[in-house]
Amino acid sequence: MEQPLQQPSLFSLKWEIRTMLYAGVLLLTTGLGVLVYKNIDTIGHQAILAFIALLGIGSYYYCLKHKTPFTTEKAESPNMAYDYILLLGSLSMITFIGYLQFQYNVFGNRFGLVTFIPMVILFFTAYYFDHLGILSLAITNLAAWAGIAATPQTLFTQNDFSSGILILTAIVLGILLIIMGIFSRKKNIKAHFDFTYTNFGLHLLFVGCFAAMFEFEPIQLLVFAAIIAIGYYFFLEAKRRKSFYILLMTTLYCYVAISAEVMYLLFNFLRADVGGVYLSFMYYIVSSVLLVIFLIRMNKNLKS
Amino acid sequence: MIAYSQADMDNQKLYSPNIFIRIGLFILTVIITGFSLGLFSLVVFSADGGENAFAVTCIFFAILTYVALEVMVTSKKHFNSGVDDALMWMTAIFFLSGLNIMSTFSMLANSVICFLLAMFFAARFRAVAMSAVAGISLLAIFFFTYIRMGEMAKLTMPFLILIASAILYFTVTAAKKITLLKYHLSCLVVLRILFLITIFISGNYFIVREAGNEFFDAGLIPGQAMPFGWLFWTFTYGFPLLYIVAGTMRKDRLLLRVGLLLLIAMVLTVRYYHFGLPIETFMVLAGGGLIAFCVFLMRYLKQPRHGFTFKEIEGQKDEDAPHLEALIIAGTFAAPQAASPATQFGGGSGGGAGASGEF
Repeated sequence: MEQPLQQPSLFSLKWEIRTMLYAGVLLLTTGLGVLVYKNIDTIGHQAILAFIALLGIGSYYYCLKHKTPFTTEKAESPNMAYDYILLLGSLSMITFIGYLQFQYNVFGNRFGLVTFIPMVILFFTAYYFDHLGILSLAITNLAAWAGIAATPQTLFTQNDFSSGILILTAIVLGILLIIMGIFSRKKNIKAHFDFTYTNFGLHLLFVGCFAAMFEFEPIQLLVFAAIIAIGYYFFLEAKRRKSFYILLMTTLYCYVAISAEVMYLLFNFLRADVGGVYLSFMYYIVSSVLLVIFLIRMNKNLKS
Repeated sequence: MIAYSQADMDNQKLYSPNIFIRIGLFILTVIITGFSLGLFSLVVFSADGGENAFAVTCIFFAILTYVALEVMVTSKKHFNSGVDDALMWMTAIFFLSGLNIMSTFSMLANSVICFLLAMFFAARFRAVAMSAVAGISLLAIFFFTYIRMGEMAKLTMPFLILIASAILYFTVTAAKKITLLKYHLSCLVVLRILFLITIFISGNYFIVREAGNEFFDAGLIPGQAMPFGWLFWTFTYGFPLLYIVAGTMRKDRLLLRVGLLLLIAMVLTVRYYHFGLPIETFMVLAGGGLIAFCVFLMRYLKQPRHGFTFKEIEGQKDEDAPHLEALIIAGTFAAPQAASPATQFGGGSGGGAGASGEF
């Protein structure tokens, strides 16, 4: 009799358990990663290494046994633990490979195999088992292989953007990732990976172009025009996807670029004096007011 | 008192844009007010200014931003739009800076001003963050009043804050039934979280011992026990467990989540004083334990028991969650270090968790 009453009062622990699983995997793999390096000269480290390898193989075995058949569409994971076991497996595998290289120099120093092999494993895992988190790990690994730190916190802090090669790499990689996003969507091969590719691509491309504006001063106006063009592309994308996130990022990047260009023209080109300071303050006030109006309009536009 | 008309709030006629638009509008509003203040200062006292002139300018700008806030809220119906958030913060910051540049106020006086301002904003504009500020400054008022009572006060300070937080927690929890406050429910939620945390903090062994050493010159050397140490250890262990148990029994998600969060703080406190266990061994054990516990829980709840399930409840799907989760994973794991530019396409040190060092 009371069955219908009980249904709405069911209390889901989904996000609590997911968070705990995530914290568990994070602690375990980080701890093991440190442990194996700290115990290099003791007998225990062989055991730790074996444990890491077993963990990796065991996790992959579990996922292989439980996975739903491969599809180019979005595959639902069979159960909640599955996603995290897969994460545990691929991270253990990467730790293991990194250690092999560190201790025995298995892959030598050629072709960056040390970052290349984990990257391949990660991309394969992401596609074969359908895992967005591992895909973003694979993308940061791809960037690392190309020489760029691309995780959300390190993109701005750990890269030396005064290096011309690094800037070009960032731009090329950004374009490549955006193309991968379009490809996933158009060919309908894991179309839901599109956003992850586009997101990383957007940031790399904008940051790369922004650095290029200052590093390659002779072609500054050209680069500036390119940024505006990219901004327009992403503006259309944001409208198409109805993505507020892409809209905000594009707006902010373009605003920073436009402001930088205005300041450059004002102080370096026109060689303005104190009057320029007044002008620049006024520029910031007026432009921000205009942007506020723009964002409020866009909010209405995207919502409908 | 509330700046919005009741009909607008009931029919959701308020202007509350998407969270990303809100962030953008917040940043832009801060830029506008900041540069306006800069421009104004430049124009008004380009020759000489002096502190008082700047203080007056600050107060003047506090009034300006407040008027702007009132206009945006009453005529444009902005609510949590980023514009109103920013204007509120700017008003408070301009006002407090102006006052403090003009003359010196005691910490107590500042806390009182902060409390009154934040209370007003929270009440009138239903600002969630401001209600948290009000809660913190209320506790600060207790702290700075009580501390004037001499030596005894220093020793019993944790108990005062503990009792005050507990009373406030129960008051706030009961207050959600008051119809007058029905538009401030999210403020009350934030205050509940805040006071649950301050209850734990005021009883936490680490905080009490180290803060006592720092502020009151208790003069404890490392390794030396603290008077009433056992009591604070009981609090440190007790509160998170109490929250989790109470949260589970009452099916109160807020209590449960705060409890889980504070469990981490509890574990860190215990580890700080007791175990000589190296951090990595501890991480492995804790991580393994957590995963095992989750697997057990999922087995146990395969069929929903006692009204609990680990599955998603129909109609509560969260579309953006997987993308956010993917970003968090990319941010916290791997952290593959990029190679130096000299080794383009072929560099990079160890990818993967924990692998470090150049090869």
